Amino acid sequence: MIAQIRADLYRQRHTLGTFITALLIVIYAILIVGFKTVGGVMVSATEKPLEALDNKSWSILDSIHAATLSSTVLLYLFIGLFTIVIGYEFNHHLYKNTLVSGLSRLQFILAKYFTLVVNFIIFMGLYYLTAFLSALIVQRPMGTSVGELLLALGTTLWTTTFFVSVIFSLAILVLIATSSLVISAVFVVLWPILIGTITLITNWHWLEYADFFGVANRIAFGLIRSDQLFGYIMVSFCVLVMSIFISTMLIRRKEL
Amino acid sequence: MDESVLALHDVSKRFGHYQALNHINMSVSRGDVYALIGQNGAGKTTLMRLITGLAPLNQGEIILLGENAKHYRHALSRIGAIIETPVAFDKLTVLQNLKVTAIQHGLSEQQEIDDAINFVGLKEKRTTKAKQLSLGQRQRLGLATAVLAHPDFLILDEPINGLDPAGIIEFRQLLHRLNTEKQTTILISSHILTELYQVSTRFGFLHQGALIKELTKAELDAENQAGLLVDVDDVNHASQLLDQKGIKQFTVLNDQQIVIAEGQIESAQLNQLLVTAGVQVNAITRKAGSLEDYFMALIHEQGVVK
Repeated sequence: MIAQIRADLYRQRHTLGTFITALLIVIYAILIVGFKTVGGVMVSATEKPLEALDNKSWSILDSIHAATLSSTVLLYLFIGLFTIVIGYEFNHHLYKNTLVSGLSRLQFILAKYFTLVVNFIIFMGLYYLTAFLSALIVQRPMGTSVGELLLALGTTLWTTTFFVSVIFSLAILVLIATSSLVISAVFVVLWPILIGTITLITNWHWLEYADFFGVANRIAFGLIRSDQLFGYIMVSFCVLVMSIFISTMLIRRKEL
Repeated sequence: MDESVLALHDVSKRFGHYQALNHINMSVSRGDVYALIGQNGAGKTTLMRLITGLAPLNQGEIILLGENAKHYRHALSRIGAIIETPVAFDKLTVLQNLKVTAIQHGLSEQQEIDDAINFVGLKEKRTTKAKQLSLGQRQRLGLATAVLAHPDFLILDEPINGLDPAGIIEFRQLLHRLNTEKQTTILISSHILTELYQVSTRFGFLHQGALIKELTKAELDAENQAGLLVDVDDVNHASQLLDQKGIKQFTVLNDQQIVIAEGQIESAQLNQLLVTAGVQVNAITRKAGSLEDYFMALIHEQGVVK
């Protein structure tokens, strides 16, 4: 499995799309911080931080918060990485080479999942690093102590990476179930919008547990109480385990 | 030399109502170049997909390199395969494609990649992107990928499809070298039967999902009456002499003619053997056997040619 992750990362290093994604992320982070613009797919519970950012001059911490609020757009850029890591293989039946090399189906799914996680860590790290450096370059004040800033960055990075990885574990499941890269990409785009919209219309607040990106944002802004945090994490973790398990079962039964 | 590399017991595969494979029993021994022959839809690719685990097995048992297909652990890492068309990452070069495979197999030596590239004759194309390769070159890249990790067993599904005549000859030579130099056992399917005949040591004939015949090249030659056709005045005496010489695969055609299967004795040797013992030799000629004719006759026997 480690060998497969290394092989995928090697392939990514030689794929232009990886660098284009990195470039777009850097530009996006610079635009957010440089032009003090916040955007993205936001459905619930982030109005307060948005209002707070609207009515003040930004510090570096505010810039990081703005980057967090705008990070939903990264989901769309991550679809490109998803395509490179697993989608292309499914579209071109290249998984045959991988699967006849001795990798089990579970190892295959886990390798793809963890390759995506490595990607999210790297690209999220790049995103926040760019936001931080951009704010530093335009000489914004720190806004807090360096320790607290690093803590905020660390919390944001792990929560976003984890919850984004849950969405993409479901995208892997959709890809294997439908064999369609388009459907799985559409799924990634529609999932947060759909969950948010249904929650707004029906007032089914339990659906917020499935608004993975929203949960990540609310954790980053301290909008989820520490006693509620465990529940959100456990629900997401269970979804992650289930999607990997079902993906493995599906691919075992699939005519490849 | 009779160690089993692959054994299929009562293997069946169904797609909905369509019975793709029906109670297949076959075995491939170490050192074999086993040719799987059949018309389109006979079940060749399905069989190979089952062996490589790309399709779930409905019924029966597949033992590959000592492991049951339901619980492969190491067997697949000891095989190389091209199933249907050879696939590669189009935007990566030949070298990068092989590097991906090398990392997957835990190979770290650049020399192994270079050896595979040289082996399939793609040295000049090592920095060419896969999408810019011709079909023949892609087939070679597929073969390089399949042989990179020094597999014990190679499974090739229609590997010479789309190759030009020169490419076919080169591919045949590559397979021969793999079999003789690297002791790789090979399971191969193709529609180009003349090529299969030249490269293979055993043949399995699939028709409508059933394995209708399995035989060695010597047996095929004997059944096809291919080999040395010797015309003598006394076939009984000649037969005794052949027996005494340890030549077992020959067929007495009539009271003057015997066919000795290919590869058992040279014509000069045969002539000397018979003449020295007082048998009058009128003629020794080489009788060619045709795999195409044999295959067509076989499926005619099944009463299925429309």
